[in-house]
Amino acid sequence: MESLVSSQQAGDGAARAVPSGWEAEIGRRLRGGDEAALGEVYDQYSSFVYGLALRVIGEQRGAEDVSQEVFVYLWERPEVFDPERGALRTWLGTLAHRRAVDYVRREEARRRRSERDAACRVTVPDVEELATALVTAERVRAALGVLPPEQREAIELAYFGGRTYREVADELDIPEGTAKSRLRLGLRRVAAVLEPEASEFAT
Amino acid sequence: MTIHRSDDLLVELLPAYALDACDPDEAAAVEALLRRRPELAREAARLADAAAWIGAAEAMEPPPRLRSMVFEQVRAATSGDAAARLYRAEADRVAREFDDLDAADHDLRTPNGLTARELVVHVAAQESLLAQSVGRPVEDIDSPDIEERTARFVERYEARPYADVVAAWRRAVDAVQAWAADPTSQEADVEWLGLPMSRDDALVARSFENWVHRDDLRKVRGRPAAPPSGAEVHLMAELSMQTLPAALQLTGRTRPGHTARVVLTGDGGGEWLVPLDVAGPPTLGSPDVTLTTDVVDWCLLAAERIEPGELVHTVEGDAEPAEELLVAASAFAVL
Repeated sequence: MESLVSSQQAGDGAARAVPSGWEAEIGRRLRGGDEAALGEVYDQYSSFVYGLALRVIGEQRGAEDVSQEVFVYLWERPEVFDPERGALRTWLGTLAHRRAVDYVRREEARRRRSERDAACRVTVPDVEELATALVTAERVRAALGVLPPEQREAIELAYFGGRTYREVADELDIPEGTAKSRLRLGLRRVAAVLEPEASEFAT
Repeated sequence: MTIHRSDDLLVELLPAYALDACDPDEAAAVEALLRRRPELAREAARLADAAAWIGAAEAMEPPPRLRSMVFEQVRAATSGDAAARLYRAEADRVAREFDDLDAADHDLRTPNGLTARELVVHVAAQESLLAQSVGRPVEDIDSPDIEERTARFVERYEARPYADVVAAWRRAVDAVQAWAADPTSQEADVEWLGLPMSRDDALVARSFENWVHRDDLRKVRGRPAAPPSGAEVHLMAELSMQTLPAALQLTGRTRPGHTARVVLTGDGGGEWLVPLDVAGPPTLGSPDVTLTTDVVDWCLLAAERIEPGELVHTVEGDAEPAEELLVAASAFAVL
């Protein structure tokens, strides 16, 4: 597979990813209103977007809504995805996560993911896509596994639990500064472990 | 919080920012920092990549219907289908209003006499009536009379959790959207509020009611009104103008052969020649009267949220038909 994501070299210091030929092409086609391009993005990333939203929100309906919003947003405003500035997967992940967290924070007062366990863990039309996703998931779990438990716990609470670092501090009964530094150390470590893997989603 | 944060403190927040774990004011400060100091963008992008990779651990095949949901919406967005877009946008706004309604607000009394919770039930009753009218019923209460229907819904959902009411409403919205996404709906005749309507008019009419009711909810909670965009309000004003002759007839105020010019000002406004009778086209160029008012106020008048006597407006020409128009305008308002 060709190298795809974020070969961000030091240099001028600005974030400059080297987009894959596919991503640059997809960006161009989306801006031209090519529906088939969105289909390709969907087939490549719907498991990623949906799985992330489902993990954060904990129920299928909300995860579907957020996933739908993400892909429709990309369709309606293709110019906001700039392949020069970052990988499509990061862009989709950032948007999906933010929307999912917004969703959870709105829901928070009433019910807290009681249906999480009911989320259906099903599969599978495209074997290759699934294999890629599973291999990736495996590696990411391994990367998270190298974190000291307290960093991992803080990251999971923040990222999957939709908590702010202050809420993480409250929940773990630690000072805010400690919560911030656990998130910082943990995320930097994940970044360091995963960067060599960042060619995984080549297309 | 308005305390000044040094750049160093904000840089420390970059990882929390990448994890969406900052408060909104902090997130805004971090974004401003990134605009101010582009050399930090590389680190921010690296952390964003890492966060997205953590998300990848959860990859899971979505239900197959998600793909068609996405593409239905994409096609509606692409097709210039303004009525379907309006319906979806208003439903989204209603959903947010419903989500924001805390249990403590449920008993607040809204302008139409219902409590806030009952109003949500009423909106669900309305939405499910439209679903039923277009042949996609979602409830077994089939009364077409909206007040009776609302009463039966209130009874049904009284002892059930609020989330059930919202879920019932959502089912109806989904049913209507699925119908609207089906190309055959373009040819459909829909009965709504006792009037035969085209698909687009029915969608606009429901969106109009949704706007009014979500503003009812905002009002009782002390929030400012949030009218739709100018383009959206224009569709609603247009519908209200189309139904004016029937409204005059319903209220016994027709004037065969006469015409009024209605000028609605503000974003989404426009100018309409309205025949003062159900029969015949307007006699172009010879209106008996010109009525001028604000487009949003006109819509609120049609929805009975402003009384004719309260409406700020000007009249040139024969005052009497103008006043009758104002009275007739709300003939189709329900609750």
